[in-house]
Amino acid sequence: MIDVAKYQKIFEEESEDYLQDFIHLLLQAEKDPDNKSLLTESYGKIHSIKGMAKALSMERVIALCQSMEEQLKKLQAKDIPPTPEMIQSLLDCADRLKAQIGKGEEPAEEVGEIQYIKVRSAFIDELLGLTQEIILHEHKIPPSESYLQSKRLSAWIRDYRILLKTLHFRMLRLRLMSMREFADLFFKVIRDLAKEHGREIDFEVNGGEIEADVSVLDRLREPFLHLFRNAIAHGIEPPDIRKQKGKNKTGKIVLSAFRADDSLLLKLSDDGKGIDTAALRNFLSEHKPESVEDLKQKADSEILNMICTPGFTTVSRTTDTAGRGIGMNVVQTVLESLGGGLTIRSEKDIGTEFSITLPVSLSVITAIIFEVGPYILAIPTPYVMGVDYLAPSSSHYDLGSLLGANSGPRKDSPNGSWIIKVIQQGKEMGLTVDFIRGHKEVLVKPVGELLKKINLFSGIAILENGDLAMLLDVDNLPHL
Amino acid sequence: MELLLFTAKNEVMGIESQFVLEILEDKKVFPVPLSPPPLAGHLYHRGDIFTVIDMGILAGKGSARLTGSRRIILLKWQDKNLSLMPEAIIGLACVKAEPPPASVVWKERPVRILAPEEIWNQFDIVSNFVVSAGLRLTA
Repeated sequence: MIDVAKYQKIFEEESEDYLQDFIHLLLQAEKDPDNKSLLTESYGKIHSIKGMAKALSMERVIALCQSMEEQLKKLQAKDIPPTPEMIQSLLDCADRLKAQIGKGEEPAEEVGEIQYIKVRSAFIDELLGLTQEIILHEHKIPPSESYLQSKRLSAWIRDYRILLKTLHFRMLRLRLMSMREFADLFFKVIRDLAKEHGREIDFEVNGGEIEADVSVLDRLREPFLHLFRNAIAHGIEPPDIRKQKGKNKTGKIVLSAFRADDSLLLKLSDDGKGIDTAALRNFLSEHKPESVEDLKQKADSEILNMICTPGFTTVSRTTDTAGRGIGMNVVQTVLESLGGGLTIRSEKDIGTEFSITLPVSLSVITAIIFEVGPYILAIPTPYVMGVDYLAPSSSHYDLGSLLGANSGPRKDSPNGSWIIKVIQQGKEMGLTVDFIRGHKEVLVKPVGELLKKINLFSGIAILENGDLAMLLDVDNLPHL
Repeated sequence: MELLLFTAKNEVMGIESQFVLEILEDKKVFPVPLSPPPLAGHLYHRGDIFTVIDMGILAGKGSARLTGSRRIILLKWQDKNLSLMPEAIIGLACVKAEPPPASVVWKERPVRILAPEEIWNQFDIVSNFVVSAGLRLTA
């Protein structure tokens, strides 16, 4: 007997791939309407989906595929280039087909198994929190000689811990999203923006299999939307200009993803006109307080990063999509709030590349945990240059004074203080603290509405033993 | 209407029991630097972080932190949560009053009835005042 559930799953997975290819081929056909092979390939994708649907007797899917095949056949037979309206009609059909396949249309004779359900991400967070608390609770087992001596009980506890940690790890994976899924959010937007600005754009994704926490990627939607808008409105040239420059008339935007330890590296590049740093220096000398000489001393990378300052724009008029002077600053602010960074490289007429480094997960980070007076605090590791034990100095920042804590050298360290060296906006500073608990992995929760106004904390860290530490926002410490 | 009654600096207060999630005993509260006086700190329970409000200070009964208080009332309503640090928990009382008044009398003592949203807003106002009075820290 055929295992329908198993083939249903294979059908859904393969159809998703075919549909993605179909959409890409249609978008290419729209840009290159004289290329008949694109329509032939598109037909092939739908035909494959129809074949699999027939095996599973999915009548509605078969009917829709049939209709799409007929539309494609007509286009091929009449030997006419596909119009944007025809392409749109086929894209709409693809959306409907995707929805039908996703519903798992049942064969006539039996009701299929439910394969997937939608779960609110807030619910997953709740489950993660409970799992974490179970792990913490386990650390609080009261010490008892009897069970410490019992080998069987010790073995049970060891297995229990392994199961708990496995459960926690699997729960964390529920929050992961692939870069391919993230990029899919933008395909249609890029197409629409390209049409609006009269551009032809190829959008490519590399490293689509790389995964990251959905909470990180969700916060990147708006910044990336802005970067795409900028690339299309200001970067990629119109087709005729590109031809004059000897470039392919279709501009290219590439999103690449890499993993390095705890970091996610994203690069968004285009092969457009680039940013003319010489022109930028001239513009800045007219509109910013720095002198021409000061600007000449700065490296190109520093000059490029100045487009992230608030209010920066060089365009003479704003459009709905770009040029309001708030975008790049917001992009940088969002990235920094995520504990990430942005660097820009650009070359005139070659293109521009934005490199974004981010933590893989917002939920779990590594941090230095320390104490100041009665408070337990933490600083994320990327901000920490080092930890030292030194005699107090006026060049160090007394965190106890800032926080109003009755702090000072502990009885067990009368001759010096612990100093945490941190980076604040590119400059090193030393923070005097009372005691260093260690360098640990912590679960991070948001500060919450009632305390956001204090403006000194970027989150609340939950330590392995259940203690809470306020996550210090180093960039918001008053400058020395 | 069923009320959970508690005291804070000799004042009896009540909150509708429908908003009470749990009452904790001997739960560690972690202080938060530079927080407004009514904020006793934070605690972590069942995957959630609860802000702990010292009801004596919030009710304007002086600035000394309630001591000896070992129980904490966890509140949950809509998508918010909060926890209250009372001086002592008296118990439950039923009050026949619709809609709920601002105060009732219980065993000849006035009881101030509080809504969670009211406590939240009151704390928010205090925070705003404290922050705008110069304790706001910006780089």
